[in-house]
Amino acid sequence: MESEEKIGYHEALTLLVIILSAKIFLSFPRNMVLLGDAAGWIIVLLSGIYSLVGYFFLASLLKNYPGKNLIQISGQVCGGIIAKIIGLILFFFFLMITSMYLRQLAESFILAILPRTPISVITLSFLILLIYAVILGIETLSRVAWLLGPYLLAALIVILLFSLPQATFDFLVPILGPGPLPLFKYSLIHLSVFAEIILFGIIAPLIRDQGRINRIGLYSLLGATIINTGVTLLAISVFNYASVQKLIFPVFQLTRLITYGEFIQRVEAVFVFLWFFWAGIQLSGLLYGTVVSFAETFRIANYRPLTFSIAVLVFSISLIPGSMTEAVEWNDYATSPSFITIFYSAASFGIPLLLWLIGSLRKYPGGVKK
Amino acid sequence: MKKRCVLIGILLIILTTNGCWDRRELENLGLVKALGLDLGPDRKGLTVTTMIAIPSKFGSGQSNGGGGGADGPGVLLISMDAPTIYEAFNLINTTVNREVTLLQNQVLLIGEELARYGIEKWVDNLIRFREMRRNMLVFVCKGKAGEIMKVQPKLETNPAEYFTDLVALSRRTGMYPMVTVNDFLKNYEAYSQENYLPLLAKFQEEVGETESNQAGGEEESKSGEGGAPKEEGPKEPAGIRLIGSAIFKKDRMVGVFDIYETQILLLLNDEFKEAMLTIEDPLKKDNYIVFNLLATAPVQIRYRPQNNVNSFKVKLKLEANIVSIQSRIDYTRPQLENYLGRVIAGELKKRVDKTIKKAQQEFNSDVFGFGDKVKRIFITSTAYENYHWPDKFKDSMIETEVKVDIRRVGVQFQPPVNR
Amino acid sequence: MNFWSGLKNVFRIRPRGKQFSLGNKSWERPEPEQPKEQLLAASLEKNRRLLETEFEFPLNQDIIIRDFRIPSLNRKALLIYIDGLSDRNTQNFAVLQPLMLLGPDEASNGKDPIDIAYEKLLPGHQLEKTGKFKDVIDGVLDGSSALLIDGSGQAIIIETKGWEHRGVDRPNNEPVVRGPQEAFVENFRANTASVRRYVKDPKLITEIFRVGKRSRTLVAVMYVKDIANPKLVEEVKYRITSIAERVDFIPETGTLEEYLEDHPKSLIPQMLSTERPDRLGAFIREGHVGVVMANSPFSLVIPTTFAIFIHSAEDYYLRWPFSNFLRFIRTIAIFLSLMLPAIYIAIVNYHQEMIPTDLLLAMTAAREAVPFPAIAEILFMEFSFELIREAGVRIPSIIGPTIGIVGALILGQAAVSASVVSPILIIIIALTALASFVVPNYNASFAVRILRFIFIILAGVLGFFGIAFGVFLLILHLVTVNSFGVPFMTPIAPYKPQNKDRVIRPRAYDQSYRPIFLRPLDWIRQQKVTRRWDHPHKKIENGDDSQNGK
Repeated sequence: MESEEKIGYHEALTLLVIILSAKIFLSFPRNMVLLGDAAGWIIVLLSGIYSLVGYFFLASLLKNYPGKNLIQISGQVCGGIIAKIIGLILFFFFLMITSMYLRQLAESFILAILPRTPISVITLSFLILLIYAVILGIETLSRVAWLLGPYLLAALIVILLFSLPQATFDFLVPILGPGPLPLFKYSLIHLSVFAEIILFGIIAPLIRDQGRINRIGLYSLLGATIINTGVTLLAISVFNYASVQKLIFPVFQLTRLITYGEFIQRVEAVFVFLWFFWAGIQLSGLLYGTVVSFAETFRIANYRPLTFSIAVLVFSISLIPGSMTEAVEWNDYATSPSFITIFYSAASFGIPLLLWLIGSLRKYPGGVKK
Repeated sequence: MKKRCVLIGILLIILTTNGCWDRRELENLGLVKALGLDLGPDRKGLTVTTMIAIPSKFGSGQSNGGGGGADGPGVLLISMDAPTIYEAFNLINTTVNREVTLLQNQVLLIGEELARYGIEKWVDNLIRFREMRRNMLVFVCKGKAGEIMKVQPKLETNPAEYFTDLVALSRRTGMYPMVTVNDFLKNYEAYSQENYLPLLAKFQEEVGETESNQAGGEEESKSGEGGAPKEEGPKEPAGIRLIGSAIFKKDRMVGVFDIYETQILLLLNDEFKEAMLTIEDPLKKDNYIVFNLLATAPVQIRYRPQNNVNSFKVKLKLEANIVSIQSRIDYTRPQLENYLGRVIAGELKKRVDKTIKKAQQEFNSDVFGFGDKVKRIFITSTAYENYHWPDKFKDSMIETEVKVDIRRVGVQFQPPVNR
Repeated sequence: MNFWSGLKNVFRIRPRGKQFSLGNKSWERPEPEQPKEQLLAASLEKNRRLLETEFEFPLNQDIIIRDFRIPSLNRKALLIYIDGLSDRNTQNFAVLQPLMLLGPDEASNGKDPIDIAYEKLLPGHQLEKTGKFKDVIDGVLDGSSALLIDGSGQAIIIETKGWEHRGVDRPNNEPVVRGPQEAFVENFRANTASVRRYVKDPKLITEIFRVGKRSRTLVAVMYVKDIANPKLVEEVKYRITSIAERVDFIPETGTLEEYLEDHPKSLIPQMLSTERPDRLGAFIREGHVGVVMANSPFSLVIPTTFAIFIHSAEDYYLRWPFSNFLRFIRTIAIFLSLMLPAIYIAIVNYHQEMIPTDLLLAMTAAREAVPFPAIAEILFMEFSFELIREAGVRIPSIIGPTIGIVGALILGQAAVSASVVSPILIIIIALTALASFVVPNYNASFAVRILRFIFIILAGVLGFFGIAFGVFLLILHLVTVNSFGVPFMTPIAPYKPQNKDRVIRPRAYDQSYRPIFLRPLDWIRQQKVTRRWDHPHKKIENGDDSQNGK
């Protein structure tokens, strides 16, 4: 394709970490704690470990077909109809994830700072940014991620520092929550926490330093695990697990509690910046994934003109859930795994697994000769 | 390019002339500085009292604060009866011409009647609405909250600041706790500890009245200007005083700890910082020794379940600095220092036992946080919830051990002797 | 029809054109046009008539044509020059005197009389022989004198430049406390000579072009041949020559900047214009290319990056902690001057809970008397401040300070007393204005000023969400801007760890590498351990990494 773009090592790493961990600002900690009581963070940790295992398949696929992205690989391995189906599944995956996150994000903005603004205004203005970012290309986006990354991380650390004095380890007991067996089951189903790693499969050929791509995926998964687990842990230890199960956006509440002397109070609006940039980069990356997976499936050379149409699709789908609670529930139904969660996990980790199995059976047609 | 500019221009005009939905000008806001909740006359709704700040009295060069009268020159007090808090706001907006908003609200006052009735129905009110914040300070008022809010403090034009500064001094006196909505909710839902809130009372100083206090209490009240000055005059303006803490069980107020019991309560909860305490001189009765008690090490609570009896061992390790010796005995010598330390520890142990017993027997409410230690031995949360700790608090065995070390004695060694 | 096709135009995405980059890609491009050639005739009369028609001789009284005879060659000759541009002493004593009075008898020599005059008769220090008509015209217009001899198809351009010009003065727009106090002037040769004094490298090349069909302004491209990337130099020369014959008149480097930029419509400047020769010399030594133009005291540095706009000339002349302190203040000042009014509007209109209570009540009390909404107030005050600023530049210097006091005091004080604005706003505007003067580059300060207005409007519409929107958009744009193939946010965004001079300046003895993003030919600036006297017992190898860059 028209891949004049090249992404550097650091930039790709930061981009992936940001994309994988942007869900901490949404109702992700709550969902984990609903399933796991005080042991919600163990679910995230276990999911992280499982995702590392699942990443192995993706990494070996990319190694066997250097310079090709996931959809091209599926074209080589399966060929024809199945490849198109896989491409379409990926497209739907990205589409759903982008729309759902966009909706949740807009809801969180309305809750946090702009209570009376109609949601379509927020969604539309965000979409304008996303469209512009995708048109400019993934190289630009990765540079922006690298530029803003340290500041986002610093702001996250600030939240952590201000919340630590209010955290008690007393709230982390009972240690194993609902019991070890349910924990294992839930963490397996909730591999969807790290589902966005499949984007790595799509941008891998664009990375300049092809020898180190394995490291990028690995480190980004590790970094995202640390961030996600850390934030869930923090939320549980500041608010009791019983309270976190009822909060809509726990990190937002955390920022509301920040007090320093009499001067710095009620400063959660400043953290809106943090949110905004984090989510902006994440959603741009995911929208890019949507557009490119569609373009790759149908062998369209220039993906840029598709952006507008797909953005309209995203906008419409994001408005389907009727209320805020529906939007949150769609994404992750709490007490039992919802269809969407299983779809995410299956699409993101099942497709590389499937391709790896078929590929190893057929001895990797068109790939690197062993 | 030109068409693009035209379209963007149209978009901008649409956005800006529609009246950016959330924009509020400063002078249209009615800032509520303190919110008072009382049980309504029909016992189903509430009487909401709001204290709305009047900005022009705070402006530059216009401060004629500190007059008399119920509606002090700084704030406007409005009370409304309504089924819920938020409908009361709407009702208030039928007379006040600024939009009532809780953006800068720092203080929440709950009337005693409402607290004893049970605030279960209204807790959700306090956390769900986005303008309510979890770092609001909560107080319980003896009597009606609306009455307390009518008192005009003398040092501040802003009564809400009076409340916040007053209760922040709990780190100096330990005589009352400082509780925010967040702390309240944590204990409310955690199923392991009960709540306690500071208790406010309004009182009128009559001429010649003396305070009646607990044994050995010499009033070193560092807490703001709560009391009315001891001036002559038949009708003195009333004052506000923090008289201890209100103890809750579940969602109801069941009792009161006075200021000394509250100190013990805070000691056991690791929230005590320092205070000035007085004991009787052990070697010469009728004389007092004042010392500054510091909590430097956290309290250690060990939990050992023995058969069916929960037993706890509480260890307190404190430091004291001698502040004043009335008898001229030189307590600064090392042996006497140790002796004094043991005497102080004994006195404190008596108080601790008394307080714990009161909480167990009279109120049956675990305000000290023993439930958190019990939780640790359970692996799964369902097991803990089936244990029903709050019912078992009454029958637990609690042993206490207090150790006090005298560290410093001020700038003087031996007390001055007059020969 | 127009509306719909216009609408389609808005959403059409043009295919990304091929962008120049310093890497390995290149492609075919159109050749620049060459000026028309016309040769001199052999006869003096014909040449004279050509010159007279070209210059409109009797009408145009600037041109002086001096006919005379050269005795030693026994031929007629003429000298043509412009009155006021040439130095009469040189002409009298170094041109006319030797030709008319002195000189051996060469009448019988068969060579071209111009060659004889060039070799034996003219004792001038800078002579140029040419057969092209255009060169004669250009030479005369430059201030040189042209000598034409009957019987020769060539002319000699004798360098006799001398006119009234401003002497080397202190820099007006980039003053520093510590450092050289010299600036460029309008004299072309003085400028190039100043640069030469700072870069005494024999490989410093000055290539001179003439730009503009009617203005024929001299433009010099200066670079160090060993260091600068040859692709970069080629590109600069290509761009200059390809516009040279297509325009009539380019007055100054500012206009030239617009012709040469990659993104002329963007708010972000992509070339640095500097008045100081030491600064230009420093950049040339790094591998940048400098463009100096006649009649312009501002020179251009190509390419530039974002970090360069935050640096001032003084940063390397001061000690490390001091200059970092100044840089820190400068960064905060840029942030303030860009966003302070917008943040004020966002907080006051949307997020009032952030203000401490007492301050909020005081502000409300002050605002109660003011009839306008906050955003109208700010726009009004910002606009009047821009008026003051612009007026301050244009005002004749005699009444300058008075108007400054009058404007600031009256606007500030009276506006507050009349309850047109609130006092807090005056503080905000004053802080913003002061901060905007800290920006060290004039072009960049314009970018900041315009962006400030955009941010105010965005903040007024959507509060902090709007500001974040604007910042994100700005960052997205900044990252795509290319300055001659170099990404604008290097070394921050395409991360180059060897170039540590981003916002905070590293120690001068620590920077061993030239900017990697320029892909210079010689990328070692200094040895790894420069302060050898500091490590007396340590064994230091003499050689270092390879001499040539990656």
